[in-house]
Amino acid sequence: MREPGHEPMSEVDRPPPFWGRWRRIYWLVAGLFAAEVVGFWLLSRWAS
Amino acid sequence: MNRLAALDWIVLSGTIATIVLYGAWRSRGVRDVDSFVRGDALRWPTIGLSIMATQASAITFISTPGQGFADGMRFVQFYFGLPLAMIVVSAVFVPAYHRLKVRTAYEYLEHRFDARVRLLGGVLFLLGRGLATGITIYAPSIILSQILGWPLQATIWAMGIVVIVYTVLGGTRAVSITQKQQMIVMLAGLGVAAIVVILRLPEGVSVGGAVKIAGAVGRMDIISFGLDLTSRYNFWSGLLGGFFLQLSYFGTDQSQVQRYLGGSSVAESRLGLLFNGIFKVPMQFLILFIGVMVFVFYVFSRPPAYFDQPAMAQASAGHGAEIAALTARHDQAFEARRDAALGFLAARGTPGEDAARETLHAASTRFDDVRRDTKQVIDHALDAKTNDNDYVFLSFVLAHLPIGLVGLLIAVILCAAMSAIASGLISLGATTTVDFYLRLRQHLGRPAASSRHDLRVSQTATIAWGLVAIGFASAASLFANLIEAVNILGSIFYGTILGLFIVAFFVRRVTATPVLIGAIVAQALVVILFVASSLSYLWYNVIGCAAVVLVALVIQAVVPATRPAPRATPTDPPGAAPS
Repeated sequence: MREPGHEPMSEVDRPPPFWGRWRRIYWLVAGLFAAEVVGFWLLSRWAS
Repeated sequence: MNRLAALDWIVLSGTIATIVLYGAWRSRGVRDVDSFVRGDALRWPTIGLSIMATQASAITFISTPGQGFADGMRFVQFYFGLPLAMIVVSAVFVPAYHRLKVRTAYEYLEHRFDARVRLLGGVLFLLGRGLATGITIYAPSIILSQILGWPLQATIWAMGIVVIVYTVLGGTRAVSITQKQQMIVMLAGLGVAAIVVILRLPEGVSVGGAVKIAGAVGRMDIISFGLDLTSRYNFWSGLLGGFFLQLSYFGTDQSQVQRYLGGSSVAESRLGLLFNGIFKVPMQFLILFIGVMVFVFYVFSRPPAYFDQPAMAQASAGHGAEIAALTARHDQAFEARRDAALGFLAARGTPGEDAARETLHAASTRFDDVRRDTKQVIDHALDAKTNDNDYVFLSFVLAHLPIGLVGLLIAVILCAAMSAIASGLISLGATTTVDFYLRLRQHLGRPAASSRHDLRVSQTATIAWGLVAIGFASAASLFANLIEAVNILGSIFYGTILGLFIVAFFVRRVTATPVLIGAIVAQALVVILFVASSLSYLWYNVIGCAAVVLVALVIQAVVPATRPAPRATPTDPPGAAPS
């Protein structure tokens, strides 16, 4: 029996299986992309 | 003509047969249309690799290294919008599709607007994807048949039939499982190719030295921050235009949507997409980098005057003197460039480095001029537009990889072709069945048929689209520049389709009729821009999408009779939202 006020969490609202919050994983993806861009820029400068 | 050795055939046929049989075995027991279309209960690694395999067609492994060879690394900027698009699809599109438990992306449009908008989205998709799947079969077949001496029609039919069989038998689950294995083969093949090309560099030329040579001749200009709207690839067009293109492709194209709708949970779907967001750009970087290293290899090892040897031989028949003169110029230019490269390596770290770089750059430009002149003569002789860069990587593989690894690399290309074809066919079959056949039956008030009947319809639709794609591929050689035309057509439609979904997700007050008019106006605007301007095609996606949103908003504001639509909920039946 469910406790009053504790609706089952929708599957869509469930957190990721690691790192607690989806927002953190999104920041990881964006951060890795930013690091790639910086790396590409440095490599371009070094090569030329 | 190059032929495969027995060991290559064993590796090639063994790899393909193992993947196809394993996929068919793992996906046995498809009994209804839902399991055929959705392929439920997939985990995120399968989804992620399947998404990557769907986007990576054979052309990715044939043409992209050639692009690195001829134009350098700058094409990687085309993918800069992808990681951000994956975040938006994961955060917005996936929850919306899962809430409504839709089987196709266009089903969502009916929940939000009405059946007309769903029909428009479905038709635009079927047109674009149907043509693109034909090209996905044709493009690698023409190159493989020319280089390996395989009959073109037999190559097209063999590839098409194999894919149709396992797609129809196992549905989406078979497609995703085989794509996972195919992507693993592709990544392994890429790694092997990268190692071999580096090992084949001449003694005394390190990877760092090779990168420096590539940089001296403009092949390592990875990023350009200049804002030039007519430049096809720069940071801004890649980030902004690429974002809209990738958002449209991954968020609204059923061939991709079907990959992540098959997740066992929302979290698995999201993680699969984000996996692609992390690894796609490095993978494209690696493919281009292999092309750049092949370029450096051919700085020291004499390349053919034209890699497309069948075209060269045909042109020589009527223009022998011109081709012979160009070949002599090619040999002289090659030696001058090789000497300049050796001089540049010797001058590194000395006061003469800048002058040596200038000399190398000038020698490389002269070599490129000879290649361009050779192409012009061959194109004129054949009265056709050839693309020699498509033949660079396969020629290198056949000439310089050990026996066995050649078979592996050909398997990589076939795996890529089959994975893209399979995604195309299963999505075309699903959209035809769910958005047209089942919807029409519902509209006509027919009682629900048995699940077995619906499954048969899905399988028949998939076979039919497979035959259409094979037929289109078989006839493709009759039309000049067809591939280019179809690619441009695809990019023309994507902005409009994305606009429909952007309005659906984010502009709640817009109803069906304004968004329909907005889509028609936006499509006309993009076609006019295509015909009358030199704007880079990536910007069509931004403009088409923005035009749908703006026109829909304006019409909604000036037509008082239209009422805002309530937000669709999972319990709304199709067509519940008023238009």
